[in-house]
Amino acid sequence: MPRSSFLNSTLSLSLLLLIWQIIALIVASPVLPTPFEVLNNLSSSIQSGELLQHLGITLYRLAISFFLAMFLGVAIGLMLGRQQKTNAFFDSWLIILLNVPALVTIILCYIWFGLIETAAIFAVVINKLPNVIVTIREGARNLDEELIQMAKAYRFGRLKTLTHVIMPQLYPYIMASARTGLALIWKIVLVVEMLGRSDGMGYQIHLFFQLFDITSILAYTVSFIVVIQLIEMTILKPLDKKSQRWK
Amino acid sequence: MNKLSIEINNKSFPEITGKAAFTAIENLHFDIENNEFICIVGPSGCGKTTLLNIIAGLDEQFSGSIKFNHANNSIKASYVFQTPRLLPWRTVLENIQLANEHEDVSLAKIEDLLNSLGLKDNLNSYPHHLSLGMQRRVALARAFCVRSDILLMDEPFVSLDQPTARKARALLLDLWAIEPRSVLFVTHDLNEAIELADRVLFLSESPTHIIADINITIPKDERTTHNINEFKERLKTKNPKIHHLT
Repeated sequence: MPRSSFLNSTLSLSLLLLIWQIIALIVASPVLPTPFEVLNNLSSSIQSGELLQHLGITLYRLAISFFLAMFLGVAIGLMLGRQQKTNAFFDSWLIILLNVPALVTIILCYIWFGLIETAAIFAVVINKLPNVIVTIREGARNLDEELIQMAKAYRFGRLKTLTHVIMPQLYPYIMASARTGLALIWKIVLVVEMLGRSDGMGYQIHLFFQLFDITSILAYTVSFIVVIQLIEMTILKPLDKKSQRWK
Repeated sequence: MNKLSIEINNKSFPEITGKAAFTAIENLHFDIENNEFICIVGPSGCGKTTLLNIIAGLDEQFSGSIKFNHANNSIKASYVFQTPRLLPWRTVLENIQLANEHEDVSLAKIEDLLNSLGLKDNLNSYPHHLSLGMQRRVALARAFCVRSDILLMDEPFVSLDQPTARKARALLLDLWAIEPRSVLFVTHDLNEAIELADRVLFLSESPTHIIADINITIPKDERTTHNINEFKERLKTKNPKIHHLT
């Protein structure tokens, strides 16, 4: 009988924890706490409310910059993918944006706009945006011209063409950039918080680093992984399923 | 009486890298009477699809005009393409509804139409779950559901096997009787053209123009295989110019 995927992932996670536990016992050093110590720390940080507060503010920043980057990225990517001349003109901008180190954009944003919330979110969006644009542009180039012609022949109009003909074709590309985007954005949000905010996960982790509190760093990391997994399971997977029902 | 006049003086494709400039259509003029069924026969690559795209308003890069003789309003065309071109992520019903500009067409009418095409159980199916023949019938239903001045058909029954194609032609004529409108039907099969049309236009090689304009004089209910073949033979002897097309 094939094992269920749930059982499979539980087994594989347990193995990881076991390896961690063994290594921690062998090393027996304060810089590598055991999984139990991390779990303990996690539950006490949750109870004190400290973790939830910082996690909340980080998730808030993540959500805003995620939606901004996705919305702008889809719009710009679609335009560049459909208009060859515009694309040829702006292609070099995109390459520059893709290759400026995240750290540089973050620092520049803080210097130019000050250590404010807007600068933090703007820096995250600027880092994520080029990736979304490139993915969506690829999708826009592969749109089915025959269906677009059909839409034109039957006078669908712009809005109907966009929602019923173009978006369903871009959907796999949007999902792909949403998945990679989520992973990338939360990494960048932490750096942004570390460099210029006085709350959020990044700020806290930086603090723990100065205190050499590895257990807390790991506890915060675990909490974040759990949240991302929850987003994947409760939002992204069902969305995938719903959009694939015609296949 | 609303006559549609097609006047295309010149349609060329500009030079692109690797491909020389190319004149597809030159001095092609004809009129379509109200509710007339016209078939267009021509060698492959002669610009038949280009002609339909121009009339449908998909291609505006040409010199000439497509207009009604007695009215200034724009032409509303419905188009049956060579492939069904249904949206795979929408159901049969949604595909038909989406093509209707104001979506005020009643569900009963769509159901009736699909019923007469033998698709009454497929209202909520996705196109991927239908056979090619069924998808073509949905495309036909979509074209007839839309209120249009002219129905453009680009070899809609190509790649169907003979019995299915024959049935599809019969269905087309039935639908046309219920929802009459002008039809421009492109085909490379002269028998099909004689079976369906009031009038057949023969096109030349590109640059395309009309080389013969033939009225089909056989009454609609006497178009048996025998009569069609006989008509074709007479056509051949009388018009040596279109010999290569028959």
